Amino acid sequence: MNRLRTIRRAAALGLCLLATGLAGAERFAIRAGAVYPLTEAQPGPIVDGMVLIEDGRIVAVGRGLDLPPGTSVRHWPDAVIVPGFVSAASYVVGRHTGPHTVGAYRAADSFDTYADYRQHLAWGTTTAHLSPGGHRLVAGSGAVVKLAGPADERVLRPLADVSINLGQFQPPDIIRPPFYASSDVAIEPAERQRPTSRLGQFLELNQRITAGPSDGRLDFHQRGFQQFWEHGLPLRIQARRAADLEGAVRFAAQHKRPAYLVGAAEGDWLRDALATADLPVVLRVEDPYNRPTYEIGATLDPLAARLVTAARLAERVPLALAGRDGEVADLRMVALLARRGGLSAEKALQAITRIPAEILGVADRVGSLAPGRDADLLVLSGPPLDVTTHVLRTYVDGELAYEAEGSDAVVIRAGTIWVGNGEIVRDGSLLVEDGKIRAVGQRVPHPPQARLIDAGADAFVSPGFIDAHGHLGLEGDQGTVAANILLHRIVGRASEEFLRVAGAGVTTVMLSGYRIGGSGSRVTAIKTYGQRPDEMIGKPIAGVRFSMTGKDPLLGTKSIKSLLERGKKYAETWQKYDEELKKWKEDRAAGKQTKKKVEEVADVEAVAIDPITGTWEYTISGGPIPEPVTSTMLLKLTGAQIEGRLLDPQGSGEEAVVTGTLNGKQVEMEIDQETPFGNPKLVATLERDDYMSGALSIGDVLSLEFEATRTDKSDVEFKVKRRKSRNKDGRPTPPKVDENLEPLRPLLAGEIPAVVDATTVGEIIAAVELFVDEYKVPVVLLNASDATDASEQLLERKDKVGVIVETRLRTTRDDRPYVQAVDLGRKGVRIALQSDAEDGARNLPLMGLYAVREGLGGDAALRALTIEAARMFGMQDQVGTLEPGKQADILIHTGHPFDAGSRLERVFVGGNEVPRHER
Amino acid sequence: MTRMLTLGVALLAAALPAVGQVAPERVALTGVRILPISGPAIDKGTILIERGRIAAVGEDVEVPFDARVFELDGRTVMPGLIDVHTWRGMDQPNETRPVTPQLDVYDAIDPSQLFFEDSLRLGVTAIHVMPGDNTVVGGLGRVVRPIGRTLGEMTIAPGSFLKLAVAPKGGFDRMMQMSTLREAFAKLSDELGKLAEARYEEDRKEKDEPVDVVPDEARKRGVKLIRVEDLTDETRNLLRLTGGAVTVGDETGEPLLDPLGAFVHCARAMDVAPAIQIARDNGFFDRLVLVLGPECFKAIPELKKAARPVVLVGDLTHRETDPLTGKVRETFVPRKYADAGLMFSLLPGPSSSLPERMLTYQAARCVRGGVGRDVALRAITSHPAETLGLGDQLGSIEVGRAAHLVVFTGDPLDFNSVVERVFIDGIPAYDRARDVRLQRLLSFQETNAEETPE
Repeated sequence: MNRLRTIRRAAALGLCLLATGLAGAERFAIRAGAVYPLTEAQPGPIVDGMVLIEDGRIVAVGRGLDLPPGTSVRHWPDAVIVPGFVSAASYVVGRHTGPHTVGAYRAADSFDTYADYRQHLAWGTTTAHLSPGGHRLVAGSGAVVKLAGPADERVLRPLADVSINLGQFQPPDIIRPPFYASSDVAIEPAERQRPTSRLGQFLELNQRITAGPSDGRLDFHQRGFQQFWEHGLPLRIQARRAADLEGAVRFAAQHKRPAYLVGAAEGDWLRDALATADLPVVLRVEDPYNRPTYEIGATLDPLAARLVTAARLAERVPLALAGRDGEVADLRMVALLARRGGLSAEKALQAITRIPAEILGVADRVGSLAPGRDADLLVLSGPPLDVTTHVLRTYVDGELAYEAEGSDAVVIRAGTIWVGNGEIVRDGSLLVEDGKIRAVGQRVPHPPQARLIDAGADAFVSPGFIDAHGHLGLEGDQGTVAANILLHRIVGRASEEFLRVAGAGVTTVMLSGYRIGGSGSRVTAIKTYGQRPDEMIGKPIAGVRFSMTGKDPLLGTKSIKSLLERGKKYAETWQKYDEELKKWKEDRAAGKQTKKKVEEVADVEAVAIDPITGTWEYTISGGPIPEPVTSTMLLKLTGAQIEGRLLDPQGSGEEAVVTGTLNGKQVEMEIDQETPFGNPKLVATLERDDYMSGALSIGDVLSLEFEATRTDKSDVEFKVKRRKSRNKDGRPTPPKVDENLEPLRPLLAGEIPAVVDATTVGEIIAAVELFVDEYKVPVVLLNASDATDASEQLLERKDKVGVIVETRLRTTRDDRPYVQAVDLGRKGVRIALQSDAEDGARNLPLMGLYAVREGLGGDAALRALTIEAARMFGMQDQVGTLEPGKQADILIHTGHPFDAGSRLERVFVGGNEVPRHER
Repeated sequence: MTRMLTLGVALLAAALPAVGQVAPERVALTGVRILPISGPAIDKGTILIERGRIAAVGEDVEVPFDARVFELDGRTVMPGLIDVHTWRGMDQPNETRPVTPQLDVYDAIDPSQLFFEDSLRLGVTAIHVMPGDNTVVGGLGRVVRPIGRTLGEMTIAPGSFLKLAVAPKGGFDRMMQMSTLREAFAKLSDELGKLAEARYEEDRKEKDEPVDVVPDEARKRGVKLIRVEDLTDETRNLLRLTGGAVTVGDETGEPLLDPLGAFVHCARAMDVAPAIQIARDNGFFDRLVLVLGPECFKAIPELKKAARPVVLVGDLTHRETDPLTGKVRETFVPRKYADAGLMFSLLPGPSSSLPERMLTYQAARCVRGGVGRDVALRAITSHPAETLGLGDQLGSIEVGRAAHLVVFTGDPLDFNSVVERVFIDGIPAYDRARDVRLQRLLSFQETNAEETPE
């Protein structure tokens, strides 16, 4: 036990070292289904591309990059990477209201370098232009900033431009009252400001550019404006009407200044003039439904740009798109709206990335993905300009600045969706949420943050395959599986075997023992993949297996019948209890007090002395242990199940839970003490009464000798006490659970089938008559070689009978080749396929393929592997189709699963995707 | 009604108990627990005050026969508390004009305000009255004690700090605030230049020589000719802020005036960097004190680099709502400054609730919030004293310091402790037993019950 701890510690330490080693590197790569570098050289996407990032900068962009060793790769196979969006006209700093018609205001002053701009980042905007205001002729100087990162690095250009606004008249008078006014210090008249009309705006501008000090008094704003002008800052001219735009073109030409236009709602009328003057345009597009309170019609802007304006302008001038003034814009949505006006997807995407970056003079840092640029990029859930796409992650300078809230919702798009109920959806999609299918159709809802898997136009989506009879998880245990063995308990986690089977497309296995007991045996539906143990159980009791093979049909029937009668009685006691309980609940709800006599006498159930139950003293020796160590364990046997506790031999008083089985003289137990190599296992043989010996092993690493002697046979810790009386509040006491008869309750209720081994015609007919006719229980026939001879009887009871066809597809019958699957399938008998194997179940899809070759139709084979098997076991409300509400067991093939050349691409079990590398 | 009037007169007479008192020659506080702030506590010791200054502190201090002895067994004495930044004591925090460097709180402090009496009652012995935050350049402050009938009697130190604000004044946004600030300094340099030019021309005229240089050169030559009396009020204080010497171009004159420091108000973290920049650009970085709102703790890296004293205004707890999830995150602000090793001073809280008005309560909250007890105590005594440049006079109990002492009935950070006596410059300025207004307040309910039927 001590050694166990040492191993565990060493492993944990190793992991820690590994983790610190990784944390030190500031280099990582992002890989995605598509990367849009959006450079001039590479405007289109790189499929399965990668971006290598070091110290916040992009080092390389491309497909299959040679990564330096130790580079961690973040891989989103379904996502798309684009550069962070650049908003050339944003509303990050809010409105400014300075009174001066020519102001030396600096937008950067209002920028909150510490603010949390995740609302912008969530929409993908990472860089924004800040405006000093749009309300006066010259507002001052704008700035270009990043919306995340360290405070002192957020401002890219503090003085980025001279912001001129055309069409803004009637500035207020400026009053400068002296402080304090007196008879010596008079109150001066208010200073009038111009322009008062469109006629005067360029006059005013030109005068301000050249004006010297007039009255000797310092005009701070005038001087500031002149400094901006002399500094050669580019002109940012905001204008919407054609008249102002024309003036702007002339003004820019007159002063030979780099300039660009903002707003330009009527810009498409002047395309030629703009193109000749080489003036880029930042077009504001109305993005009306993003406003918190929007009333259609009430607040529409008569001067808003029409959607076609973008497309028309982009033909002639570099075009950037921005949102309406005064609102946080979703640039992707703005680009999408422009597309509706006819703008090409490529240009629309550039209009919110590279072009605005060029206009703002920051294209060497942001707006495209190229070596040397800042690692500002977005991970999108799908194609950049799809309505349903959203931002999953936003990186700024290589740092994660925004991450969408995690959601397990997945939308799968594919050319064909084979629902399984006869419906086939072309160009369809499928929504998976909480492990269930929520919707299927041509366009299903995309919840926010849903992952999108676009499987392509050729892809074929079908339900997961069901192995109607398999042994996955028994790990070669050939022992008889009695009716009281809780088969579903063996499933813990998806081991290698499970992953192999799941990866082949088999998502549900109807698990059954190799040998069955005299009183039937359970069939359990297990899932082949899951994140938690409870996800791995489909249905604990999905069927009860009986055997009639090799017995006189009459005798065989007799023993089964007596069993069923016992089961019936047992079921009746439960039924009675259920009724009593129901009544009690109703009474209680009605406020009635049930007074029942309370029997105080505790009835201690006598515990039969069995070979295991009691206190054992055990010794471990050999291996690396210098001296044998001794301690005790307490065990309890129920049926063949052993459970108990093991005391730490070191005397620490710590206990570990042990569970296991007794199989004849063979004791197998597992100690619930996690080590890097799995739980320690105890395998021992009861060599004589009260003595066992064997080995304690940890994986393949360690094996120690083990022996134990029973010192006390009394049932120390697990004394079973039952009060046969009612509880004090009058609540009826449930009957004792008999695990042997428990499976018969759902069976007799007709909820689950009897899975009967019946080979000959006589056996088959006897089975069908007994179960279907007499007990109204559906039947699934196993090993029914002669089923074809009883096909009439089977077809008479159509929905109540199914046949799991033999594993050997091609047999000989009456000296002629015979294929049972094809024969029964053609006759219309319900069939399902089986592996009769453990991880051999991975070959089940091949069985379907061979059946198709032998003449069973591809669709029939698909049905046999899905909905038919589900119906046979009464599980059609859980699995077998892709209808809403079903478990999300989904296969994505590159074509019809039984077409030549089709490949299984992805597998989902209960909404969890089976990892690809483990297939 | 008559009774009300009588009551009013009685209260008036009882107000300002220390008015007109002269410090006794020698005072001794004996048997008292001493928290000197500058050193370890003395469990039972004596403080001897001579002519308003501390003459001796220790366990074995001999008490002269002529000393007035206060036997304070079981009490705790600590340095007088300092309210380092308040507009209280004036009628209004600010002038409406944004740029008013010529203003001085001297003109507005009203010694009869109850605020001073309240301060005394809570153990505050020095108050730095400053123009409020609703300004761009606010004017000059002043350090006063809460006793005295005239401002002259009250004054501890005349103003040595101007009030500036980077956070926008009412009706301003940050672009206007910053541009108005820049404008103020641009105007200063413009006016000094013009003044230098005028002085040069005047000087040439006196010497009967012609002005034979271009204006730029004349300005440079005139720098050294500027006299104190040539400056306007407005220019004078701003010039003092920039260091006191006139500079035009690269020509600097002799220092004309003593330099001033500045208390710069920053409401948000984003204001911190511009405040530091403005101070560096205009030569008062070495005399800069930052008055910081709760969110400013986010700028601690910049503050650490600047290493200037800070004063914490507003709530001690910063609440922030996540814009996406709506979750509220709370930060206890003083802890951040304490962990960063910055010298910070506490102020009474913004709420007018009684506890937040007590500096000891604010310090106790700091201790609860994880700030060391000694740091919390310094934040209401020696830190503000040093911030004001009065570290050699106030803020600790050491020989030679001014005798500003507060006697608590127990530990000052214990909420059950009350201020029993206050000594300011050796004057027994406050005695709880003789605080008529307080007695009246505490017995109000009984009195009220007796009076009801009328």
